[in-house]
Amino acid sequence: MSNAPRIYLDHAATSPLRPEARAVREACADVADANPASAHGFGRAALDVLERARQGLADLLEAPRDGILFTSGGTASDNLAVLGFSRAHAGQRPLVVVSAVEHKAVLGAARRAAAEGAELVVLPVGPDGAVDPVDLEHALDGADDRPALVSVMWANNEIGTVQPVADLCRIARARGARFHTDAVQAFGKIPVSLAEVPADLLTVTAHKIGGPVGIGLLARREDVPLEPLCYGGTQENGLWPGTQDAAAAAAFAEAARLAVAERPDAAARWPRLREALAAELRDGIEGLVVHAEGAAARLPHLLSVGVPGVDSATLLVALDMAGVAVSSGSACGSGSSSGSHVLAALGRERSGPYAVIRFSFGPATTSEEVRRAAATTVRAAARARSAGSASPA
Amino acid sequence: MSRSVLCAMSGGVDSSVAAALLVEAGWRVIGATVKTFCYADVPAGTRSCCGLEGIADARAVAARLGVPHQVFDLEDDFTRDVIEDFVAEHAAGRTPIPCVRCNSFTKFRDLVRRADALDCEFLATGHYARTVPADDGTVRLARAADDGKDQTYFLWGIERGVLPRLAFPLGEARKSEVRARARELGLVTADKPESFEICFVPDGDHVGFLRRRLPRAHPAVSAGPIVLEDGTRVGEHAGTAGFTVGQRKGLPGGFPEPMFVVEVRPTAREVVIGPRASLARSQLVAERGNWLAPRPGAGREVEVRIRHRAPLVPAVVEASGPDGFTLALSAPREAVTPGQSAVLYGEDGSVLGGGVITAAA
Repeated sequence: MSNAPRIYLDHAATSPLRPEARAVREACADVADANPASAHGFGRAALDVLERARQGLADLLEAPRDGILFTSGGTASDNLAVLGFSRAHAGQRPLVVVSAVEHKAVLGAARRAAAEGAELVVLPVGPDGAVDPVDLEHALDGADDRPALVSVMWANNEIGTVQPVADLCRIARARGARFHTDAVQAFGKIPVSLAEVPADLLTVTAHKIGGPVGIGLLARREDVPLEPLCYGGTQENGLWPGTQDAAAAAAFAEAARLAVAERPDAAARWPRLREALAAELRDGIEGLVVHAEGAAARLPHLLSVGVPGVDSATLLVALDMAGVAVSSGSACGSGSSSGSHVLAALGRERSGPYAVIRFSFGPATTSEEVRRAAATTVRAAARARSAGSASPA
Repeated sequence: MSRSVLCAMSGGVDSSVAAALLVEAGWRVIGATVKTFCYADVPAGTRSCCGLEGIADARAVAARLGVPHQVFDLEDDFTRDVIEDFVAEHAAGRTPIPCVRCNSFTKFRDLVRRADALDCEFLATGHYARTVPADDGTVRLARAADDGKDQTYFLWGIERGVLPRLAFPLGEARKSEVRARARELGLVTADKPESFEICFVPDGDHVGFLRRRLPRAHPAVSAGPIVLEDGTRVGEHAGTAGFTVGQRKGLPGGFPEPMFVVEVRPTAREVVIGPRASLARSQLVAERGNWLAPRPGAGREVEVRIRHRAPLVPAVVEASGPDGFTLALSAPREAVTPGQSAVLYGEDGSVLGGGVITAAA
């Protein structure tokens, strides 16, 4: 490992726990060190912490408090939304419409729903990664009177494309379909309000905004039928039973509060960092491709680039060794960096090695860090290319 | 800055310990797991050595050792160099060894290029083999200290120029020591069973695998006659790919002596069977050869291995060229199987070269 300070540009995978969130979790752990369902004073203290966190998050999302369901994270919330909806309409051949670039938590749940009898329609995306609302109109033409759920992410985790969720939500609801959106990457980075976009279901997770790993939420409009995925107690309206972690919920709410409060400032800063990074990479790497560049809206803190002629693993190792932490699209899965379904959906022809690097900024990312990451990437790409073009030993 | 080595890590115990030994020796190690085929269809919760679990275990070991690790996607190259050859060889009635192709191309060519790109001096693997300096100043490939584990049979196809760049940390080790070391280090792979299956055929059903890749009526995967050496038809088979020379299983019974597959003739759709005596061969031809030492000329006495774990057999080179050779075996051997490798060893035990057996007489 080099001696230079390490640079963490993988906040879209996990953004390190904010000190304030850590402090809240520790403080709450003292007063809420009991089961929120217990009928004694200790339990009530935990319940109070939990419910204040729920209120805080509801306020930030401009949603009713009792529609906020705590879950174990983004994957849990996505599954509860998609599979829970489908199972609530078992036997009616519900229609499930998703985009081709959804997170695997949605795609996996949707495929499972299809295996259980739902009809699955996958909406294509354009070269910018965005869904065309007209395609959703067409997809819903086939719904007839069946129950239908549309699930399109607010913003894409691999390339940063912001979807036209307001239009998609309006179309879905006008046609009697329910609308779910995975806002895991969008929340805290761009305005996310259920008053503005009245989605029926919305997923957020804590660890992308500096909250703890292991807790997320599904915001649910009261009248959306869902079948739970696990059965047991009545916690979270019986939709995500199991003892709640009140201290984690409080830390989640604190991280969310800070992320939303900082957002106007970050929204001004991040795009400048992103454009500076793109410019330096473009200057230094012949043939560099910026993904989703033509999109009408992109996440401000995320830049995904492609380097033809180099494979992802080589570039990621070189950056890792130089102390620059980035990833190649989604960090989920097995540590493999290949075969992104998102890039495939953009219609990019695969011919030869093509390294994909996703840089994502956090609240404290500096322009100096971005400059150094760019320089390191340029050097590593040049090295990999010269080795790749040389004849084998 | 210390010297760097790219260490191939399959997620098995051997390559895990190889990486650990390099770290202990002070090398700057980068772990590389090669993704060779698509795991998307592997159902959740199943154990499969080279699948997702192999990748996950390799990552866990790298994390334990504190070394960087990445998954290198060589699926396209592996498909072309290994899987397509595997299918073509079976289609031609031969019994290929995909591990030889994977070593020749995927590991010791494609991964060496990644080592170059990462400024790594060496590529290391968990193979039981050694590289040793020769008198002429070059580097030779030599058998492992643990003769029972020696894997040089699978390594003859490496380009000779690559040998000086290779490191085999387990070359001097015994398997039992390797497991003990893995346990000491707390590696998750310490007690993992060894895999003998073809990594891209995790269910072991290579005929089923071929069936999905060959035309329905291809002789390798569709019915044909089982015949005696004189052409007498004695039964029917479901495809020649299910048979290899020397095989006894799955043949019709009722003969006075045990019968074996003597030849596979896909163009005639025939599997030829005969008694044990018909298996003996005293000459073999190998093609697609590769030399890891100065090429042995006609008349040179060598030792040859014609199957993994088969004993070494004295032989004399009858002819040799850059891409192949003909050998006279000192005594007739049973089951000299087209598609398997013939690997030649010199008197000092080093690998002279090898080739793919195409004919035997």
